[in-house]
Amino acid sequence: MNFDLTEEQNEIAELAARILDDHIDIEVLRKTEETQDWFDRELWEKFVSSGLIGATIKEDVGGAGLDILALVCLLRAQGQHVAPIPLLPTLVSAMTVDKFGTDDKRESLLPEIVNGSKLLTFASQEFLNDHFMEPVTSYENGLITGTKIVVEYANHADSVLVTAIDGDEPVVCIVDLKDPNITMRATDSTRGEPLWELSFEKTAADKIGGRESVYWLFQILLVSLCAVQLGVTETALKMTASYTSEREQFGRPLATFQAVTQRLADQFINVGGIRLTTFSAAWRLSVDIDALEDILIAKWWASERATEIAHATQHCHGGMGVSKDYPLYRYTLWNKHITTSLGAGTQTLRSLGSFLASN
Amino acid sequence: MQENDQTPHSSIQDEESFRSAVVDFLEENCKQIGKSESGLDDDPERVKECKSFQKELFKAGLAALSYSKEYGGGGLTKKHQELFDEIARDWRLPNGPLYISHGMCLPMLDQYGTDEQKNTFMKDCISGEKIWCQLFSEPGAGSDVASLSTRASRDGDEWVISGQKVWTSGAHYADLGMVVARTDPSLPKHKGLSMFIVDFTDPTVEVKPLKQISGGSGFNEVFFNETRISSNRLLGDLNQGWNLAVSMLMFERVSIGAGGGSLTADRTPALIELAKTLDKNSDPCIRQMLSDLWIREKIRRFIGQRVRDSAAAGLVPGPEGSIAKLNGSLLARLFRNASMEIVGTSGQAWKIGDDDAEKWAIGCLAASGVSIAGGTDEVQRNIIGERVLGLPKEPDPFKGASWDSVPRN
Ligand SMILES: Cc1cc2nc3c(=O)[nH]c(=O)nc-3n(C[C@H](O)[C@H](O)[C@H](O)COP(=O)(O)OP(=O)(O)OC[C@H]3O[C@@H](n4cnc5c(N)ncnc54)[C@H](O)[C@@H]3O)c2cc1C
Repeated sequence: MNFDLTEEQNEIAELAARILDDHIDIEVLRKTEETQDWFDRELWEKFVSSGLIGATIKEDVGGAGLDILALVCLLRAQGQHVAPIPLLPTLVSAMTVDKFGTDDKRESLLPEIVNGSKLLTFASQEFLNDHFMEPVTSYENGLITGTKIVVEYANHADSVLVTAIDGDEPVVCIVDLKDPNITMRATDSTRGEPLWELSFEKTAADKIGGRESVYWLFQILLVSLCAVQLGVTETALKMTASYTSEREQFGRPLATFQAVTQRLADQFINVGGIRLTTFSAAWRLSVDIDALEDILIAKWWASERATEIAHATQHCHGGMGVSKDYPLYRYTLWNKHITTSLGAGTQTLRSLGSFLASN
Repeated sequence: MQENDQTPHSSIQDEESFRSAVVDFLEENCKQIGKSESGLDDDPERVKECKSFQKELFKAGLAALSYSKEYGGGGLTKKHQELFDEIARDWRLPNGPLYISHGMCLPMLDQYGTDEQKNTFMKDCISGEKIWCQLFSEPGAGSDVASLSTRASRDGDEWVISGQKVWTSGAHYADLGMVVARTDPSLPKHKGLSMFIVDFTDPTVEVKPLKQISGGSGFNEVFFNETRISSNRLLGDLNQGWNLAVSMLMFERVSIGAGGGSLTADRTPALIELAKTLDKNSDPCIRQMLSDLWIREKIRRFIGQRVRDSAAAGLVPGPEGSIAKLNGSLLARLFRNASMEIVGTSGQAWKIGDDDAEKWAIGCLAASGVSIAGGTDEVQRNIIGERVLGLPKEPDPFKGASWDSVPRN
């Protein structure tokens, strides 16, 4: 086990950080939010042109062939800047096609992802179904029927990866979003971004892989969420440390009150927990060692402990922490979004419990 | 007082008939609590709805039950109010926007108002005709509210108020406000403050709504641009504003902690309903969370009972208000966690127009404000440490120094 990043991974992280630092400020975020579109295309173009979108795609289809740790670095940087681009859905879906798709599929689709002409997303969650590996959406003779919820960027993506059940085997398949046999409904979300409900009614679908691919998608999704949460909580904590060092009450900086200092020190440990467990899980996944236990532990930190971080950082800001006129709130909303994605604390513990009990 | 005198007071004094009068009224005028949660109180529709509800309540002689009839109250006892609150727990009273008027400003008027002030303000406050807000916090003075800088200077028969307040809940629909301002900067910070009643329709009072993380605009920035008020709008004695502020904050803490506010009323029953609807009521983890909340809400009621009993015995609420507030803030967070576990993905996204789902999600975001509003958890803990446990105070290097000699940012 070695969590040191390679030179290439470090370079990717630095490049992403540089682009994001240059591009993102409060005004840019506000402008994107006003469009209700939640997509900063200019930033996306920069990611594409500097090769970041292809970084974790294999070289034969135009990518740079980096691994899941590089993916974690990219998503962490996004989280640090709360950048509204479809990075997670596109990269995770593309990497799934890359790993499990036929060469035909890979060659026809992935170069267009890498060069920015196409976007991907995924649809894995169903209403009141906590079992990722047991979708209710059916796949039969190349057609899928069922309803998926909380799909990100479905209005921008060209194709969507859908988990479905083929007899008794879960499968991942890919669906063209222009297919008329799809009904798309926007839903509001706490993060402010539209999330989509997709209903498929005998919609044509191409199978990408079987049980193994669904399992892999589940794992990489969780690791990716943890990676974004890592970035989100890192910045929220940094903002809080600097706010409490500057703001004075009772004639002294807030951070000189031990109740504040100690609480923030606890959050440093919480963020550290997210970091270590996320990298550990990502590393195992990247070298194809069974990673489920580590992934669930990471997601627990990235939900349960992240909620604690969200509240502590908000709270130490006083009224500023619940106001939309101060930038911290975006981090709180992202935090909550990720916390509740694919199961919050208890659901994760439940899965971990059944994993431990059956091993 | 005309309409009030026609109410059947004599017949509702005994418990049985009082109870049935209350139930009749509630059945007629509001909805039973279902799975819905109250969320945003700043919607203009809700303010309207609140006002007309309160008017009916007032007409029925059921508003502000323990306050004197002379000033528009019910002329009954605290016991009656308690019974009312107990019965009303099962109903959704649309009176959120009156939370500050009745929880904080009304008891202050009652306790510190001159006869003239009581005559002028109490009845309209009780009937909901006029809505009040309270203005302590400033950009530079939150936890250290005693260091506030809004000035009130005497000019003949008037006071001239200048300065900025922030986080003022409900100022955008308030008609009147209780404002703490500095009347003598040469005194130590706690000593030179006074409380004033300010008319919010005055054009020199400028209200700028602030957006809240939960999506609504519940609170505001308020600017006083040389606002002139007559000298009979001073509440309590000159330079005694800190004592009044402490009483008022205690009323607030009692309200937040001991029940009443939409964020802290008993909500486990609604959550149990929700768990049933979403078929999660047989999940042992969820059941455990619900039982835990049920117990904690029961304990809160006991705490509230103690606080109200001491208030009923004529005591100004003391540090037990801090205990109630601290407990209420913890409860709000536990409730948030439990509700998010139960709603699952619906807490993240909801069908546009699905108000119920949206309210759960938003209620969850509002929980973090409870630990800040009315004095943060740390401030409450300090009060408990100093005033309940008798621990030594944190050393204050500026103790006794005049306000204007202390540096502040
Ligand atoms: C929803 C909401 C509604 C509100 N409504 C009103 C209203 O109607 N009227 C009104 O006047 N105000 C209102 N407020 C303001 C509220 O009273 C203040 O926000 C609160 O007192 C904290 O002040 P602050 O925001 O300046 O935070 P700060 O005082 O700057 O505190 C920031 C952080 O530092 C901590 N801290 C400060 N001092 C100490 C200490 N000595 N020891 C340990 N920790 C410390 C605090 O606990 C907090 O976590 C409202 C606030 C909210 C969130």
